[in-house]
This record gives sequence, structure tokens and C-alpha cells, in this order.
Amino acid sequence: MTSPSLRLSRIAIYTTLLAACALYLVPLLVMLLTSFKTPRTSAPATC
Amino acid sequence: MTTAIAQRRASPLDALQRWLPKLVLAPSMLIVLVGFYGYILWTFILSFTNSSFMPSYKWVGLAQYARLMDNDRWWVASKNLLVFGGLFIAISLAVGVLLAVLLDQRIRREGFIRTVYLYPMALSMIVTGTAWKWLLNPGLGLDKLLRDWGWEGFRFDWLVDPDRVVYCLVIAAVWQASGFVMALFLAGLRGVDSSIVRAAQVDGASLPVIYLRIVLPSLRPVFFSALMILAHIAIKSFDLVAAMTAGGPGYASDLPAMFMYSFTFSRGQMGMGSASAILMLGAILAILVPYLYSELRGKRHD
Repeated sequence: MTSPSLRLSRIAIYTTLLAACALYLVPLLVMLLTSFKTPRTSAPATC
Repeated sequence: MTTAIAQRRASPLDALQRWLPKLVLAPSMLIVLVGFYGYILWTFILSFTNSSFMPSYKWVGLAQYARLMDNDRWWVASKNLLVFGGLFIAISLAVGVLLAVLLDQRIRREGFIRTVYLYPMALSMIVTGTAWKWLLNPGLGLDKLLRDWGWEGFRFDWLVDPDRVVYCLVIAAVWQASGFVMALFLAGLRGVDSSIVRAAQVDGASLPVIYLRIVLPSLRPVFFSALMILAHIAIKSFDLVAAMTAGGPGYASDLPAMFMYSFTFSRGQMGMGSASAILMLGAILAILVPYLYSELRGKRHD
């Protein structure tokens, strides 16, 4: 049986690690999604 | 007498065996001598000449260095290097250490999480720069995404802001290098004697205190190795800037390597470009030589 404070610290550790995982994966996701776009849809919006 | 006879009787095969390692190493040694040290010497010589589009050997002394010191763009690049290098090294070390310490807590799926942190290191800086250019572009990145989602007042246009563009380079470089720092520190943490940690726990020390006072100070060599590697990545940074900002807006995000490339190969001022390359080499040596000296001295005393 683990104490509530220990469980809370485990949750904090996992949350931080998973949030960092998401940050590291965002550019990969952007690259992947952009690779499926046409040049017209991936171009920056112009006035 | 017997030795002399034995030497006389040494067959050509023995001689070949004795010379073989030197013969095998000779081509690579020659390439290194010419390709690295030879060209460093050539750049050093060119920095004292009036070379423009093509190398010339008209001696002008320290004139190119004086011109470099009078060049505003060089000072912008140098200031950017201080900001970029300082923030990049500090944040990469902090993030790397934090992730390593958290991963050292018997985490489930540690292998997967470690791989996610490490994969940016497998990418080239050009790919990293391109991906982050898309992400930070106000026209199609995070800025546009959040405004499309209804947050109309959101602005994140650092990439086109001359005062803040260098921070965009820091974000991309930290993203790429912090996983590597994490791997270095994690390897170091795995090598720490667990009995020391248990003894501290028996004495009533909390986990943060154990890490801050006992574990991390024992990883000083890892810290210095990471510092050296990150410092030389920062000083050499060229491809990240080329892919992400090309030194712009204007020359607001120039770094010395970009300055050197631009002046040597685009603007036809090879003499001044060489002078800037030699100053960059000096900066790297100023970091590396004391480190190597302390390392080698430490080994001699062991």
C-alpha cells in the first residue's frame, strides 16, 4: 500500500514526463502532417 | 650476439608486420593533416591577406581583423552567440538533468519515453530548423492555429521580430540537444553506487536532497562533458540558422558561423571571413584547451 503523498509524486513525475513527450513529438507530427499536404495547402497565408 | 643474429635473420614478412599498422594508418593521417590542419593553416594565412573573391597572398597584417572589429554585423553575430550559447547551454542542461532524474525513478515504459526524448538527436539541424520554422511561422504555425481556434488576441511572431528571433533559435536547438544531455546524465545516474543513496535514505534525507547534495555533485565529469559538447555545438551553429532564419530578419539572427559563410562565399570578402573563422577557432580552443588540460592532468595523477 503506497502513501497518498508518494502516489501524488508518482503522478507528478508521470505527468511531467508525458508532457515533455508531447512537446518532443509536436515537430514530428507537424512534419508528418505537412508531408501529406499539397504545396498550395501547406503555403503560408498571404494577404 | 644471439640478438644480432636473430635481427639479421628477420624475414621481410616480420618487417612488413612491424610496418603494417603504420602503413594502414598513413592515408587517414595524411587526409587529417591536409584536410583539417592544412586548411586551418591556410585559413590562418588568408586572414592576413587582402583575399576577396579568390585567395590572394598580398600581406595586409592585422587589417582584416581591424575591419572585422569595425563591422556592426560581426558584433550583432557575437552578441547573438552569447545570448544563444548561454541560453542554449543552460536550458539544455537544466531540461536534460530534470528528465534524467525523473526517468531514473523506475518508470514504466522508460525505453519508449527515452526514445521519444532522443529521436531529435537523430535529425539533422536542417530538418530541425525547417520544422521549427513552420511551427513558429506566424502565417501557418502555432500563431495561426491558436487564432483559428478562436484565440483572436494570440500573437507569437518572434520569428519575424528582430529583437526576439534569436530565442526561436534557442527553442529549436534546446529541443534537439536536451534529449542527448538527458542520455548522458541518465548513463551517469545509472553508474552511481546505490548503497550511497540507501545510506542517505537511512539518515533521513529526502529524495530531492539526495539528488541535489549527493548524486548530482558526483556527476561533475558528466556535467563538464555535456558543457563542452553543447558549447562547441553553439559556436559552430550554422545549419540551424541557415534553415530557420537565414540570419534574418535583416541580420538580426546572424551567428559567427553564418557571418563567416556569408562574407567568405557570398560577399567576396574571403580575408575578413577567414579572420572571423580564426576568431571562432580561438573561442572553441579557449573552451577546449583548459578542459583537455584538466582532464589529462587528472588522468596523469590517477
